[in-house]
Amino acid sequence: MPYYAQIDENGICFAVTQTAGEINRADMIEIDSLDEFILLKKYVNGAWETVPEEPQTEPEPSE
Amino acid sequence: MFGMMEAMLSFLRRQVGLRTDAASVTGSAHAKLAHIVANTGIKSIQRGTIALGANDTTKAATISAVNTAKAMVNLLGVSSGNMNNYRVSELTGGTVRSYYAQTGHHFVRLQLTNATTVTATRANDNDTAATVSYEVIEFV
Repeated sequence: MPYYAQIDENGICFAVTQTAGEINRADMIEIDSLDEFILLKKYVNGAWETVPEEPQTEPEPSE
Repeated sequence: MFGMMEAMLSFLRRQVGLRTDAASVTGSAHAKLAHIVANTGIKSIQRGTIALGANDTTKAATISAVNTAKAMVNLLGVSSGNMNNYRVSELTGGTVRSYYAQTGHHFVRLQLTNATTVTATRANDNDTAATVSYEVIEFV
């Protein structure tokens, strides 16, 4: 049963999946295991890069 | 007496059947067993994790095709960080900030959208990421 990382249009991994069979799609990258540490990382030239987090802003107060 | 025994043995042979009997819901015991073995049980299990980013309320993951009439999706759990907000109340002599927890980003539901898609959805993102684990079980 193969494992895949699925990336969005920006190359960011938003899903890892152990599928029942092979899937041939440009946004599905075969990986070795169900590795959750690559979630929200960017796929660049065959490697996973950490995306810098945007600084958090204080929420707007509610009414 | 001999005829009676022969008739009973013949009846039993018909009821039990042979191991080579073809699967059937109305045939011999062997045929019924073959039908049960061929038409029950788990065909496949697929597992995955979906990351909802800090500004996402929905994401759809791709899986191998399943028969949606014979498949179920289980939510295995959701993890997410805290998020607080506050209200400002105007009082005589100043203002008061009342902090409270925002929780909408924690509550995620899953849907087997179609034969190859599992969708995770939440009502609010609250600027907070969430990680959702699931499994899809397809039956024979």
